Parts: sequence; structure tokens; C-alpha cells
Amino acid sequence: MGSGVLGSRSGEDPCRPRFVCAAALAIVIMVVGCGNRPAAETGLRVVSLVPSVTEIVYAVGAGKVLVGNTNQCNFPEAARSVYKVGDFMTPDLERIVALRPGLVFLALPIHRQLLDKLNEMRVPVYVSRPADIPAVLKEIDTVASLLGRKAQGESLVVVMRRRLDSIPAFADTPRVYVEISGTPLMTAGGGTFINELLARAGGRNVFASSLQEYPVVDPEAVLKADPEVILLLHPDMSAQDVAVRIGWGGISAVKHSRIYGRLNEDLLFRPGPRIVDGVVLLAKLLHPGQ
Amino acid sequence: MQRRLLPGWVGLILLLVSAAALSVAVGPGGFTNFRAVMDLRLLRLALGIIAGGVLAVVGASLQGLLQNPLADPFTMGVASGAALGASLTLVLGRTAGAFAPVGGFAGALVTMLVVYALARVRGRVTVTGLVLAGVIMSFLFSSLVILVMILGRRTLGEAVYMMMGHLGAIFTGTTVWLFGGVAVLAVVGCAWLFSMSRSLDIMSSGEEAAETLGVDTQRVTKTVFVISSVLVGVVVSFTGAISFVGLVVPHLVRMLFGPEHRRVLPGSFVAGAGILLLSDVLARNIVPGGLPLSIVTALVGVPFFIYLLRSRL
Repeated sequence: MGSGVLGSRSGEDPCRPRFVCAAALAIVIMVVGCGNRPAAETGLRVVSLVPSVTEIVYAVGAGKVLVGNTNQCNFPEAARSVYKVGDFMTPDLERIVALRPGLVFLALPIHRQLLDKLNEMRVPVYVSRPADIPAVLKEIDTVASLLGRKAQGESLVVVMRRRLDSIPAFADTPRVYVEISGTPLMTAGGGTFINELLARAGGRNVFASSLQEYPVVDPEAVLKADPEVILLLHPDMSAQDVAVRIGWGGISAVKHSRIYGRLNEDLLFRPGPRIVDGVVLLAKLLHPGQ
Repeated sequence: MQRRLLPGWVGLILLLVSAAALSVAVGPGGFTNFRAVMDLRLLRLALGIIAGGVLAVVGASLQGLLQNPLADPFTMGVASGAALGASLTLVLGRTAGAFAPVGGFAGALVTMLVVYALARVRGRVTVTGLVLAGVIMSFLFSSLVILVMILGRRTLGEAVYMMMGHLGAIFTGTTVWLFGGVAVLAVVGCAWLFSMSRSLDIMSSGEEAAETLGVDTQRVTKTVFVISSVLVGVVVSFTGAISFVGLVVPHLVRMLFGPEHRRVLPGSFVAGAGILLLSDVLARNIVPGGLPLSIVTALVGVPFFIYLLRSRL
């Protein structure tokens, strides 16, 4: 027959190799596609794009319904082995949809476009946006109800409330400078969660009056504010690195060596079940011995 | 001839001195802790003078060498390379102390070598080749900076800040020494460029014309390229990419003094330093929290430029 795609070979049917290849390709695609999907679960299939909500899911004992989460969902241990649909910042819509979820947890404003897409596809979503501690407790309740674990949610909230209430009133409210980044100097402003935790732990964020969430600050402004405690929330600098900064020697926190770094940032940034641990951590740092 | 120039010089020096005085007197820290605040401001002043001066001188030299009035210190891609080096140190978690500026400078150096290698054909470097290679590398490295920041899961705010320039570098004992070395290097480099004023004047008319007039264009091109890259590299590793100063200040100075490099280069140093310091004073104090420097340099420089342009027409 004439020369086809595979070249002319006299006596051979040029169509057969093409069919075999196509069939092989189809089989490969199906195998690879199926291999990537987790074992089918009966009942509710949940995808969580928010690490803090993932923690809530496990905390109320509903870990089994989670079929997908993000690379940043690292707590508890069990969350690490769940199928990953991408980063918290950039989840992959295809992977999410391929899991056929019955419910997707996401956060605004970061997942805005994803939310629009999922709404178009009529996938049920829950938007997480807790602004302060009471809102986190409410969210635990809501998520627990969505997963049919209302009782567990309520008891978790009761435990957390009790722990929070047992934090004593402190004698002083030290000025705190929270450093989110060293190059350039970035801090957390008034509307952030860490600010709220700080207030609960009996501290005062020196930049709480800032309008921006994470403003860049002039080192002179830090000098002027003269914080008594410095919290380093970025891993690339240690307390020692901050202490040798020129011009910073006169700051109270530097003079009394109250610079704390290498903290567990997840406790302080995630509005989830561990916020009380975060508050306790801060309280211990800000008020040693109380 | 001399008398016509004097008012220009007086004006520029006055600008620099008053900008310096302002930058030391005014700042968000007030005078709460006098010595500490002064330490910070004097360091900032030194950084501002070196950065502003170097960027303007390099801009002027490149405009002459490349025969292009739109050339600026970042045409060679060095700034993007420095930003890439700095972002790598950020992502690798090693920004403390001297790592950040050294990383930035390493990035700048690599860029310089790559651009040079790309532009070299049979041992000769053409000006066009350098520009093309520089622009390509600039695009590549700028994209890589964003990529590195995304993969390293850092906030893009930090990357943007690096690419918009700032004078607020945090100094420690070691980095002050490093900066001292940079300052010496800057002065030596600018002096060297100044010594090539005549050659730059002639090269402004074109490489071939310069060759026939006896200028060793290869030597001039290579020397100016290397000095510019090194100078911009060390400055950018401390301040990020401050735009506008290197592009427009030389034109301002040419309006005052004419096109000869032996006046334009020193004039650019003084004018660049003054304008940068002035912009920094405004950037820091107008809005609580400060504005990125490059925005203010543009906002300050453009009206100034328009005024001069109109008064000369």
C-alpha cells in the first residue's frame, strides 16, 4: 500500500501498528490516571485547601473523609500522606476535580478564582475566613457540623475556651515587635491574626496601628517604638543576627536579650485548633515566670 | 566658558548638601535615641551618596558608550542578576550578615560574565552585542527571580521590594566593612571612568568613527563594561534596583554643562547623589511606613527634568 505515516513497507498492513500504538497509549493513560487516584471512599469526599481547616478536620475525628489536601497541610502526621492537590497558594483545579469531591474547603481572598470556577461547576464549597479567635471557634463548630461531627466540635471548642480562660491576667503588657521578614523589614499590622494572638497573650504589637496587613517598616520606626520583646517569624535569622544590627543596640529587647526566633510559626499563623498553643507559647515568652 | 558653568556646579552642590542635611535631620525615628538614630542615618547617607553617584556616573558612561540616550545602568542585565543572587540567598535561608550582599554581587558577576561571553565574537565585543545580550539576560533573570520566590514560598512582596530599590539596608559590624570596601571600589571605579572621558566623547559619535580617530574601541568597550557591571553589581546588592537615577540624571547634567564627559561624569555623581537622597527623604517621611524608593525617584525627577527641558527650549 502507499507510504503512510509509518513509512512504506511492502507486504505489511500499515494500519495495524497504528492501532496497536493507539491501544497501548490508551491503556497507559488509563492505568496512570487510575493509579494517581486514591482508593475510592464511600460517603463524603472532602478536599481541604486550607491547612488550618485540615487541622480542624482531624481534630474532630473526621480525617477519613479527606481525599485531598495541600503541600502545606502537614499537621497532624496523618495529613501528610493524603493526596496532594498542589500548594496552598496555587492548588491545581484539575486535581481537585478529578477527586470528585463532595465538599471543598478554601480561603479568601487567595482562592477567589478557584471559588468562581468551583461555583460554576456546582461543587459545594466552604469558605474559611476567620478574623479573630471567636471566629476560629465558630469555624470549628461549623466545620464539625458539616462533617457530621457536631458533638466532637463542641467539646473541642469547650476545651479550647477553658484553656484560654485559664490564662491569667498578666501584670504587664510588654511592647512587642514582630518581624516577618528581615530583607526588607516587614512586620504584622493590626488586622492580622498574629496581632490578635499577641493581644490575648498579654502583649502589645508596636505596629498595631498600621493600616496594612504586613507593612514594610523603617528601622528607625522600630528604634522609636523601643520594643521590649522581638519575635522573629522568619527562619533565616537568629536572635544573634538581630542583636548585632548597627543602631539596634539600644533597643530594650536587644539590651535584655529578649529576642526569640526559631518559633513554630504554624502555631501563630494558622487560625485552627492549635491557636491556644500559640497563645500559650507567646504568653510564656512574654511573661516568663508567670 | 567657566563662568557659565559655575551656577550649575553651585546648584548641584547645594542640592547635595541640603539633601544630605535633610536626610540626617528628618526621619521616622525622631531623636529618641540620638546615637543609634544617627548611626542609622549616617549609614543611610553614605549608602545614598555612593548609590546615587555610582548609578548616575554609570548611566552617563553607558549612554556615551552605547550611543543611546535611553541606556541606563541596568541595560546590561546586571541588576536582574544581582536581584536573582539576593533572592537565592533569601530562599536558601541565609540572609543574615554578609550573605545577602555577597549573594547579590555573585549574581551580578555571573551576569556580567554571561553577557560578555554572549557578546563576544572572535575576540571582539560590539556595543550592540552587549546591549542585546544584556537585555535578554535581564528578562531571563527577572523571570527567574519570580520563579525562585514562588518555589521558595516567599512572599512576592520581598521580591518586589528588591526590584524597586531601597536605602534601608540593615548593617551589622561585618557588612559595614563590606560597604567600606564597596565605597572605595566605587570611588576608584568612577575615577577610572572619568579618566576615559575623552575616549567616551569620541565614541559617542560611533564605533567606526572612533576607530578612525585612533581610539582603541575594544579596550574602551570592555573596560567600561566591566567597571559598570562591577559597580552596579556592588551597589545593587545593597540597595536593590533603584530606577530612574541612572537614566535621567545624566541628561539633566548635560543640559547644565554640555556633552563633554569630563564635566558630565563628575556632575552626574553629585547630581545623582543629591537627587537620590532627596527622594529617599521624601519616600521615608511622606507616608508612615514609607514608599518604595523607585516610585519617588521618578516622581521627583520627572518634574525637575520637565522644568529644565522647558527652560532650555
